[in-house]
Amino acid sequence: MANVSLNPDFLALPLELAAESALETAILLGSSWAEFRVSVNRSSFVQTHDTDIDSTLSGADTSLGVRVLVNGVWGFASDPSISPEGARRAARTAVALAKVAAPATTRKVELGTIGPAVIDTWIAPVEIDPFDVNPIEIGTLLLERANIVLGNGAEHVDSYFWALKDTRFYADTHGNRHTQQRIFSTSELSGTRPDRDGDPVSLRTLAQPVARGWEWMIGNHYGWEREIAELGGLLLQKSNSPLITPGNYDLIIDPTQLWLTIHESIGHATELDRVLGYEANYAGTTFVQVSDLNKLQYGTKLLNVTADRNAPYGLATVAFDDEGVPTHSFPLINEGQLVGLQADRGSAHLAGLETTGCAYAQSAEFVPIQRMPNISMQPSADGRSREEMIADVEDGLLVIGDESWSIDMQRKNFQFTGQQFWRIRNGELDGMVRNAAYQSTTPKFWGSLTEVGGPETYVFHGALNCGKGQPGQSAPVGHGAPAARFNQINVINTTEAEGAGA
Amino acid sequence: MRLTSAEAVETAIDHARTITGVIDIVAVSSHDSSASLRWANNTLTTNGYGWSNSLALVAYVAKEGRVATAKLYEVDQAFDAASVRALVERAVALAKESEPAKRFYTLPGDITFGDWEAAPFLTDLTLIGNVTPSLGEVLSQGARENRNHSGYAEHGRVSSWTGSLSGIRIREDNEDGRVEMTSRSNDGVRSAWEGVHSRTFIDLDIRSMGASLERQLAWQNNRRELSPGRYRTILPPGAVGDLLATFDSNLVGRRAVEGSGPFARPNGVTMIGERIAGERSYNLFSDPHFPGMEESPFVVNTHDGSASSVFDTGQPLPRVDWVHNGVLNALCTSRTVAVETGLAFTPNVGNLILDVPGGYGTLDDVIARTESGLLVNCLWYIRDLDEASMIVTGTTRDGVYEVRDGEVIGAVNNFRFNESPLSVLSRIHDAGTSVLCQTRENAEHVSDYLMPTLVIDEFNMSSISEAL
Repeated sequence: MANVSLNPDFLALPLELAAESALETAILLGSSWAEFRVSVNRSSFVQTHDTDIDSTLSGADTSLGVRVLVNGVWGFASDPSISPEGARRAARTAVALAKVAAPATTRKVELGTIGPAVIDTWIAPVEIDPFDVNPIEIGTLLLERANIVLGNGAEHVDSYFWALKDTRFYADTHGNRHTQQRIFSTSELSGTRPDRDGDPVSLRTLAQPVARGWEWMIGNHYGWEREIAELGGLLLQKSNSPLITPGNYDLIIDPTQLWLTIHESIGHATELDRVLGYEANYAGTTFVQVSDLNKLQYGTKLLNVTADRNAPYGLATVAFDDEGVPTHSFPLINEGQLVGLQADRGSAHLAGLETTGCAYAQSAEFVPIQRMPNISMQPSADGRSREEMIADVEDGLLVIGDESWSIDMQRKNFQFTGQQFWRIRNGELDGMVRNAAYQSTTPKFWGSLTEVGGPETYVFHGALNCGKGQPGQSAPVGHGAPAARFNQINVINTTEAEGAGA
Repeated sequence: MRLTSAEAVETAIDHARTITGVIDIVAVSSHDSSASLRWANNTLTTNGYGWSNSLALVAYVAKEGRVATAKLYEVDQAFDAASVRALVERAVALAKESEPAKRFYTLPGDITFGDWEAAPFLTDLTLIGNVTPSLGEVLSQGARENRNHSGYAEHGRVSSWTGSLSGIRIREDNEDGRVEMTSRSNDGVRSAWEGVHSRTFIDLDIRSMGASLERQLAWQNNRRELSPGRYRTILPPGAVGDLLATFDSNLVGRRAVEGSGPFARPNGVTMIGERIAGERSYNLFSDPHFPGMEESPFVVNTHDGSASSVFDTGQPLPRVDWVHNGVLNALCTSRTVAVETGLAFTPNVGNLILDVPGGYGTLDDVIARTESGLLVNCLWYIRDLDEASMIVTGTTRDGVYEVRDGEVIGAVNNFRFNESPLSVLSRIHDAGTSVLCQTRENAEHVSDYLMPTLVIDEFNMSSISEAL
């Protein structure tokens, strides 16, 4: 099937003319560097509740943004008018803001060098554009699935489908001209029923957001049919399951949950802007230092983590980052040792490192900041299946699917829940337990990694809602994970607060 | 030719009037502007000024003897007449394909509010620029005194025009702003935070924020480790606001009737009418007329949800007493949900006020009358753990202090906490006067919260966070 082509409405915009107007104005007004962006972000959302389509919402957000460097001070402005006039207005405002900011800018900005300018277009491969699908058709499919779950034990079912199309143009005074387009899809279905005491118990599908189109919902890319067929029965089982007894357990963590722990405890902890204190007021800092490179033992020797922005179908995959830098892959952790950090041009220059192509802005209305690439824990080449790993566990838990998460501002103390916690006794699954959360610290947890599953356990997906920066920006980020075993991790009962100690 | 926001709304309504089958249309045009400064390591790092136009449409069409709707929004370059008409046609076409609503209501006519013709209310660089000289002084002082300042200042204004075929014309202007500042010792051992909420940005005192941070860091010169456990804990208004944001999000009638959430009883019964406070009572309410927190007194909904309906646009927005004298009094509903559940129609109001009768004084006053306890500056990364009990987890951040005999005697380590905001409000030991607060985690989502300092008995610090 042919791939989705570039949004024709986007190509009809006066991109080059507006870019020239912005960059010329910026240079005339004293900028030593200027960038120009246009973004069109389309969104389509359909939500159902029980047997009804609860809400449909479609929209588009179009904007341009100009970032200038004037006497070593950044200035940024956005404008809704994609025209030479709007571009010049934004450039003038950005320069004015750089001058307003100058009195409180005590350190001049310096940018690391970049390679030769490139003019290119990159379009993520997607088979069926979800924006060509009628919201009523989307709602009908969601309701078909909801009805199956309602008939299998759920008293109430909520579901949604959300699609995003991100088309953007970048130009700078270096001569770069990049046009890129990505499409994301995500869908969840959640069932609820009461337990024996009447308290609500919920369970949702395990599918995570993907960089694919409508084909993901109707094709063979994901096992929707099986998951929907099993959800009601699993919910019934969960609602009848006992509460977890707190204590230390050996955990087999499924990739549907482990991706989030990787995201929070490795992904955010190895962001160079956090290392340098640039997120201290909001997202926080990290326990990792630049001097830890090639020294810090992050986990056991079984831990290998790579970063990239070019893995096929990765949620953070693009050809060029939002500073015009070509993207690539790089190692973060080799055999448990920290060997890399994520960087954009500014943070890399401050730390004496090279940019890793990790600049990202949610849209042209935002300043690009350093954001997470796809970060993936590698499976063991000769690793075993999840079932084989379970067979070795005497007294433990199998954790499937993410739910709630919380981690401190230096990315150490964390606590995660999951969709399904299965008791493992003598190498076999022995029913579900519920209201469990595992709580640990980053070094202790990754230091407890004792087995990594094989390639057949590996799953690559991620999240669309990674938040960072002020004003807050949301970014899509991909994570690959295998099944993995962690020994003697503290597990708490979330409803017995007294039992929640470390 | 580019249209003004008011013209865009009128164009949409005029065009909808010409299309067969259209019963009504709601058009909401917004003009949004903001300016911001961000700093770290004692220097400004990024900044931004932006503005945008948006147009949201809800089309109501006759179908099978009932009414079907569709919702579209565009945040776009200059809307001209042709683009507005095209958007209306898309919305109407989509509505005609949609399933009719189970329940529908006619929108009210002849509702007017605000100055429809007035120009958009925009922020400008002057307001944010007024901050930079004093900010520069504070940053320079930080550098001289081995302290590292980070922070963020933002001011924004939104003007909106809501019109309908039936005759609604609501014009609303809002502004909002905040300054947040973190100060860390250069060795990374001490860290403090201060946040100020300001709608107008003309009443800011950056130097006094710097002084407050200095005081907090001085409190941290004396430090000891403390074990997890349950402690009498002082929560400043901002931290109370971050907990109450979770409470606020659970005030949903449909969920409670369906057996989900903390306010559900079995068999479709809710906890409305039950006492949820402990010995110390409290009131929790929202009021669009509350002085200093005013908002339009009419419902404007451009999407449907578990507690909102596009058929409610134009309905009066009353004061809502969610909790009155410690008794749960109301849960949020649309008119549709109200009919289906038997609950009263209770639309959502944007602000939230927590009042503890008998509470008085500032944070310092409350500290001065506390014999023994912890003072937690901020709560962070708050996430749900158990929906039935409203238990959440999170960590403390940028200052946990030991209070003895009315004075702060030093700092202790950070903690992870596992607590229920519902339960926390049943363990109020003491309270201050409610003030407009600046939340930390919810700073971008919550603005008009009036919260007191609270002293909570047996606040559950479940494990140690080594973060500094």
